[in-house]
Amino acid sequence: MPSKPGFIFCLTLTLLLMAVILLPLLVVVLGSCVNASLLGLSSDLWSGSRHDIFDFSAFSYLLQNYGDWALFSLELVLGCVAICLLVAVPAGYALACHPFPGSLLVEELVLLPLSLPGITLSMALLAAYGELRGPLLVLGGHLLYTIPFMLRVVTATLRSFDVGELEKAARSLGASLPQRLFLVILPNLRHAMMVGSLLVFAVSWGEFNVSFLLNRGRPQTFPAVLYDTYTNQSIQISSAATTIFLAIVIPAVIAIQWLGGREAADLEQGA
Amino acid sequence: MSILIEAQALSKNYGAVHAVHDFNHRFAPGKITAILGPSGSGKSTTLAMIAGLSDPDGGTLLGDGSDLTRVPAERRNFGLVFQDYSLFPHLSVQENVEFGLRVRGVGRAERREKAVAALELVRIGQLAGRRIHQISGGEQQRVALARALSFSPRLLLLDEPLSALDAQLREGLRGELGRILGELSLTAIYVTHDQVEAMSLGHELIIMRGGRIEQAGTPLEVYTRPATPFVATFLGCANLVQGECFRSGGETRLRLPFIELSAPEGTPVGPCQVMLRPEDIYLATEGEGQLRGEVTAAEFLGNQARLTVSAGGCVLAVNASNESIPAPGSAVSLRLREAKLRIMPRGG
Repeated sequence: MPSKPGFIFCLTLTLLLMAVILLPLLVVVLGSCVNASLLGLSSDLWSGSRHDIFDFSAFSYLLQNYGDWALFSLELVLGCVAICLLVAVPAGYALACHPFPGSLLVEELVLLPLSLPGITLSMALLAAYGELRGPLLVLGGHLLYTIPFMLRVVTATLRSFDVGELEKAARSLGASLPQRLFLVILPNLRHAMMVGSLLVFAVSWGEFNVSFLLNRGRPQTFPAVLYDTYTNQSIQISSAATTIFLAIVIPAVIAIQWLGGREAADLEQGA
Repeated sequence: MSILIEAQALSKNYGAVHAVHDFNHRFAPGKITAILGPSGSGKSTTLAMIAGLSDPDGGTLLGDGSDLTRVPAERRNFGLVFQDYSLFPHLSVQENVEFGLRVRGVGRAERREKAVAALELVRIGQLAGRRIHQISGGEQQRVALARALSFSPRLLLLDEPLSALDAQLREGLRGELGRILGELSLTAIYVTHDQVEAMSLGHELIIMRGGRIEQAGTPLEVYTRPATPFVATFLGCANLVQGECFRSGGETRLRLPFIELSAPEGTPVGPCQVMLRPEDIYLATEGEGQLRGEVTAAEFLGNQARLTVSAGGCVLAVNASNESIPAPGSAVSLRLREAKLRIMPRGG
């Protein structure tokens, strides 16, 4: 138990930090629906009703004009999650449980895109696969950024317990390869796959550079809605777009934290 | 239900290391065979080959006359209890025990019934609903045994199942394990580095060293008539004394540094080693001993005492009663149980 003055200091510092982080977000969220001019604040770019303090018309506007962008972005994100699960989980299993000469190098190379600026990666992809420019290449770009997250989470989990011994136990009990996969390996990876999926979701949902540079025409991904509205629309509309963006990504981030905490607790208990 | 397992010249190499070499043995059906050896002797590798978890580089494994050498582990129907238990952390105790039945397509009701019976056999029926991390090491060991028995395996393999437990628990569970295996009359192979476990549980004992079988036989045979000095010293405490057999007056005699005795008929003449167990040398009253010595150390072991006695230039371990332990420096008279002497060739 910390001393009382120490506890008050830590609490104050934490609350201040939270305020610094959350205040801009709060202003943006409120900016999407609260008529600031009625509160005596300047709001030249307010595009809603001049007489009502709350106005949600920006959301309708976004739905009408950018609904297909949001849908495209969600499809892209879900596709990304599905492909990451299908590719990175078996790859992670192979790398962690059946290492081969050079497997560590492969692991490091998979992480390489994370250290590259989006523009560099995009230009490289365009140079190599320019004829595929469009949604397919955007998906490819997103996968290069998201597979490393899934792979890392899966390999770290597999290395945290002796999956090889569990497989041997399952074999000795008569389990075939598919039974070992579905009854032993995947159930023990459920937390890792969930955390990995949410990470992939959050990264893919927020990715802008690669999406913007590799796509052709409309619809664009949802971060491009932010770009478009902040450059061409009122603050109210761009704030509404930001609010929608946050409403999707924040639950994912909270879920990652919660599941990560649960996994750590399970590992400590040997489960 | 018991299977006759026969290993013919099984061998396994890891690079240049011969982990197991020319392992030949017929495992008695319905009996427990204990494989005993120091670390690196190849006992666990042998078990892994019998289980099907490691492919032999040479040799054949027969089960009731059928070649099992290349049959995968999952199709052998052998139960295996691992050293670290390898229980499934995502399943409850009961689900762990049901696993072998589940993968065989046994219906829910039947597998529940069999799992409950297996848990009752190992006396932990009340833990069925617990998670693995909620039970103790001893209880986990019982779950591992119940899991390996639940699907009625043809052969039960146990890889140092008690080694992860503390001494007191290990002793209690050893008796329990003996009771369960005795009730089931199952062919079992029990790998251990603990000689007490091996001798108390095994109907038959295999001593391994450097990937080879050093000796096989009943525990009594192996203990009392070790084939090599290694077996003599590995299995219990043994005094090894250099001696020589020679013919004299129409009989074979054995000369040791501290005594000369008649040797059993047929003992080859020449240099030899003689094994004397500490319990086969005893303190005699003054004047009735065969040899005299000086106590150089005395250890109180609870139920008895262990003396180190210097006699004729040899150092002998001698068991003594714990009632009157001679002090170091005192002179003692000793007698030997001559019938228990074991004469072996030198070397090994």
